[in-house]
Amino acid sequence: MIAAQAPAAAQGTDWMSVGVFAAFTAGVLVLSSLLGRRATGAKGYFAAHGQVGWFVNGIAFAGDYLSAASFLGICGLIAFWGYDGFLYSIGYLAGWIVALLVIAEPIRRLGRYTFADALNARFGSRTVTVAAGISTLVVSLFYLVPQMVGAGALITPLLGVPHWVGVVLVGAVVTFIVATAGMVSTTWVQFIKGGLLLLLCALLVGLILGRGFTVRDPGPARDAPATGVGGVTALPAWAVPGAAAGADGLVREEGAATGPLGPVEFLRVFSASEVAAWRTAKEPAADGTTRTIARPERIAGSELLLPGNSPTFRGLRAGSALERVDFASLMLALFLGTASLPHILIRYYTVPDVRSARLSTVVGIGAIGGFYVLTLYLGLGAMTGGHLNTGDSNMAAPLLARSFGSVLFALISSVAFFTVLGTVSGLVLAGSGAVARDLVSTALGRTPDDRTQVRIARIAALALGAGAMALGFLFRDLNASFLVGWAFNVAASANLPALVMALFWRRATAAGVSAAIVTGLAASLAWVLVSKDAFEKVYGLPGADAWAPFSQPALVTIPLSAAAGVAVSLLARRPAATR
Amino acid sequence: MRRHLRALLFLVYVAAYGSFIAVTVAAPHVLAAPAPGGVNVAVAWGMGLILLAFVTALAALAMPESDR
Repeated sequence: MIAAQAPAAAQGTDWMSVGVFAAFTAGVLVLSSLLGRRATGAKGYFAAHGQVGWFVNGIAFAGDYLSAASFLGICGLIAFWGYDGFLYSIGYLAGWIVALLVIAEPIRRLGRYTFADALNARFGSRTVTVAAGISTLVVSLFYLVPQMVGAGALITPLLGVPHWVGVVLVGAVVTFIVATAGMVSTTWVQFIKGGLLLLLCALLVGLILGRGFTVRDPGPARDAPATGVGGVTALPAWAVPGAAAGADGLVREEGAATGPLGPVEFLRVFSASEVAAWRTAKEPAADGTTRTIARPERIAGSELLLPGNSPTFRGLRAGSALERVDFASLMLALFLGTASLPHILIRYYTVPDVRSARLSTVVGIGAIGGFYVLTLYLGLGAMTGGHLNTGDSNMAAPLLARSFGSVLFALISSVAFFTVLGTVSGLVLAGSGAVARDLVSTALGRTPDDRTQVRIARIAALALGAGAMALGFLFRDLNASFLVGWAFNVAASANLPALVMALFWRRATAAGVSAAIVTGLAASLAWVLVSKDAFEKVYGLPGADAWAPFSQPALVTIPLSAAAGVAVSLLARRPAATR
Repeated sequence: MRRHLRALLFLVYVAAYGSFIAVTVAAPHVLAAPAPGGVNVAVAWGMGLILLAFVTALAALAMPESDR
């Protein structure tokens, strides 16, 4: 999990970062205003006229998907716990196979603007529209919270301004982007952000490989947060020719270095090395108070390249059966959650045809998969680079960039911030579409004309932006990546069984599809609210008192949602339309 | 035909991903074994799943447009 607990140490303003950041923001705002003229009418606002090219849309998928949790969270997890962070990379990417092979084409064929369109294409039912609209809103809000929390956590160490400025800045810029030009500008923001993120991370990994590993003495334990820490304490003799090795075949001489390494060699040397991994713990001091101490633990690299080091996944090694079930449930949620996220689904409406939908998914998988491969190198590079801050694992990647110079730091920081911005734009757009197209139309009993729809969506975008800002303040102490895990659980439980039924099962009825959504949404929400994670991290109660037997509900609530959908469809078998 | 091929691609990926989770949960010691290239099975399997996703995507693209 991301350790965003400790408030980042107050720093002076880094004017280079502020400059680059201001230039990025100004560029995006100008682009949005220019593109706003093209986003006329509902089709322009919600679906960019369906005229986005497959390559741009594919990279925009990466922009939508690679949120702050992916970039900052996974890199931070790997930097402190090794392989455990990479498990998220594997799961997040695997979900795209479901999107590509199961969902993409029927969604593109059946839908127009929102997730509800495709779901309801066969039924024309108001119940399905309302259920899907509510589910879109809830999932988007769930996903918005960690993004806003991430924005706030980022802004202090990056630009040296208070937390609330970060939240307000993201809220204001995103609302402007979405409200002015809808899907047209959102797509371009995602494209630029996705492309820049990939290029900069590839550059950073090239620099990490070029630098190789250097032996460093970690020094003694100290008061947390410890800064400028993390390094290799011993290298295998075969990786440092000429250096004097001990009886264990390891070189411990300070400053011994490997020089540049290839990508496979990098992992091989890391695996054979001994690494100082930093752990923090509360310890009683002599005067009776409690101190938080950061301490280097010398761990074999081969150990860090196995699952089960972090507190979240420790149960994989020595835990109970339920802890293993919890892990399997999380991996299931990641696999089935991607194709259930409304802001990903609506991107299928921006391309002209089914073939473009497929091509853009392939580009998306290539870009996202490439990025996730890079996360392992970024994380291990940060773990051994000597620039970690034990109080803020979210900052592992930006601090790693700083070790290569302030220009790279300024660029990576700005892109990190834009990562939040891009994902939030997609979510606000998906949510505003659900309000304007699904909920308001149903409440009025008719579909308003194009202009009115866009006006309603713009107002909804403003409201959602304000709501997201409020939630960003409210939950600022919460852990960003476990919130993202919840969003995947809720999305997969509420939307996937309903989607699969509506798209592929002839005997599905409107009542059945609605029942699947409502059951999945309610059950997964209820489960996460009474889970161990919620007890410990939200209510501050002992985790042992939690009602749910494990934290990740997907393994139970997805089958439950499917069972409800099938049962209701079979029991209430009537002609499809309920209107 | 095309539907069957897609289903086959999907099942191959589900098998690769599902068995990874099963091994992690039930027999984690397998992941520590050495794999070709000098890394362990955990790293090779993880990277392999990412690569397999891309290969699957290319295979899906190479399939005939539609047979319906």
